[in-house]
Amino acid sequence: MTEQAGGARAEWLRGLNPTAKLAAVLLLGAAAMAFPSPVLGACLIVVLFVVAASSGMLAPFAKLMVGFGIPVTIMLLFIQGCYSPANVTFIADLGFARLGLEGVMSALQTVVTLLVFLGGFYLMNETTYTGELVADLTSRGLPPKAGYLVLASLNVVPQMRRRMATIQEAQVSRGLDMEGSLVSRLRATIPLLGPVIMSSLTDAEERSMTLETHGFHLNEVRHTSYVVVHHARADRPIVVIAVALFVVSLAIRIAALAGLIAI
Amino acid sequence: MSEKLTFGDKLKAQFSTKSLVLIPIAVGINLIGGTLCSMLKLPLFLDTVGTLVVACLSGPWVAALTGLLTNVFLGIVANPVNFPYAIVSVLVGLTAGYLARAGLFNKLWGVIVVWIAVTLVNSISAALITSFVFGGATGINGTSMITAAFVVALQDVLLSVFSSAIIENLIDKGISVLIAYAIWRKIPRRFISQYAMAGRDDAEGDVEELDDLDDSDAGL
Repeated sequence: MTEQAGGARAEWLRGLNPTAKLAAVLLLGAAAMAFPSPVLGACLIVVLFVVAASSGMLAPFAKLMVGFGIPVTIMLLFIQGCYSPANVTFIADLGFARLGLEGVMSALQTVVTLLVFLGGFYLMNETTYTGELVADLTSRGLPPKAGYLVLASLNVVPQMRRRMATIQEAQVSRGLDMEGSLVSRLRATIPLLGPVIMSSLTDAEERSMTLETHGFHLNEVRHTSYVVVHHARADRPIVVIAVALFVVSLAIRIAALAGLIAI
Repeated sequence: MSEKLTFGDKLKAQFSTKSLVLIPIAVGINLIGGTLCSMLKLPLFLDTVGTLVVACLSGPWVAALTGLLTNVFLGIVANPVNFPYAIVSVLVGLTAGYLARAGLFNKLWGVIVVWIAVTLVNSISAALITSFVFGGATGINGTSMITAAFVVALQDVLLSVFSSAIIENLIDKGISVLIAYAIWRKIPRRFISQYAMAGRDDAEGDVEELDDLDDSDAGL
C-alpha cells in the first residue's frame, strides 16, 4: 500500500459514523467475550492491528496493546493457571504449583477480550470527535442531559488539570512541602485538592445558571446542535458484520453450554 | 422534604440542573485525585473524593451516577478494565449518599462509620468483580502483586483478592473520606442550600472543627 492510500484509509476511519464505530467496538468486544475460546478474540486483535496499521497508528497502538497485554497476561496466567479451581488437566509442573489447562484458557480468554475492548476504544477515540458522537447519539434519542454529562465530564478534566497546576504553583510559592516523607506528602493533599474542588464547585453554580438561561432544562423542545455528524457507506456493513459475529459467537457459546457441540 | 414523597419524586428532586452540572465536576474531582497521587508519588487512587462530596450535596443517586460516569470515562479514555468496576463506584455512591442523608457526615464518629462502610462495600464488590470477571487480577496496579502473594499463601483466589482489596481500600478510602469531610466542612452553607440535601444538615458541627482536621489527617 502506498503512503497516500494509507492516508486515505485513516480519513476513511475518521469519516465513519461515530455511533457505528461505538457499536462495532462494543459488539466485537462482546463477541470475543461470548465465543467459548480465545481464538476469535485473537483474530479480532489481528484485525485491529491491521486497521491501526492502515490508519498510520501502528506504533502507538502496538505500544498500548503490548504495554497493557504483557503484564496482565503474566498475572492472570499465574493466578488462574496455577490456582483456578476449574483446573483438571495439568500441562506443566512449576515445582510449587501445577499449571492447569482450564485456568490458562480462561486467563487467555479474559486477556483477549480486554485487548479487543482496549484496542477498539483506542482506535475509536483517536478517530472520533466526542462532540460528534454525543450529537449523533442525541439525535438518535439520547436525552440531551445525558449527552451533556458525557461531554462536560470529558471537558472538565483538562480544565481541572490546568487549575491544579496553577494552585500547585501558588501553594509551593508560599512554602508548601510537596516532597519529603509520606506523611508530609499526605498533608499536602488538602491544600492542593481543597482549592481545586472549592473553585470548581463555585464554577458549577455559574454553569448551572448559564445553562438554565439558555433553556437547557426544557424537555419539550428539540435541542439544536452545531456539530455536523459524518455518515459513510461503510457504516452499515461494519455494524452488520459486528452484529453477525456477536450473534454467531453467542449461538456457539449456548450450543457448547447445551452440549450440542464440543469445543 | 416530607416523608410522603414517592421515590420518583425524590429522585427528581436530586437531579435538578444544579445537581446535573455538579456531576461532571465531581467526575473531574474523582479523576484529579489520581493525578494528585501521581504528582505527590502517593501509592493511592483517591478516586472517590468527588463521589463522596456529591453524596453529601445531592444525595445517593446523583453520587451513584457520578461513580458510574467516572468509570465509564476511565474505561473509554484510559483502560476498558474500568468498566465492570462501575458497579463498585455506583454502590459506593449509594452507600455514602444514604449515610450522608442519615447525617453521619456531621459527626466525627459518623465519618468513621462512613469510612468503614465504604471500605467494606468497595472491597467486597471489587473483589467479586476482580475474581469473577477478570479471574483474579487486572494488572493495572500494584494490588495485583499483593494478590499474587496472597494466592501463593492462601491458595484461594477470591479470598486473596478480597484480602488485598481490603488493605488497599482501608487506607485509600480513609484518606478519601477525610478529604471529603474536610471539604464538606469548608463548603459555604449558602452553597449547600441549593442542593437536594439542604436542610438535612443541622450545622451542629461548626466551622471551628476544621483546624483540628488538618492535623488529624496527617496522623493517618
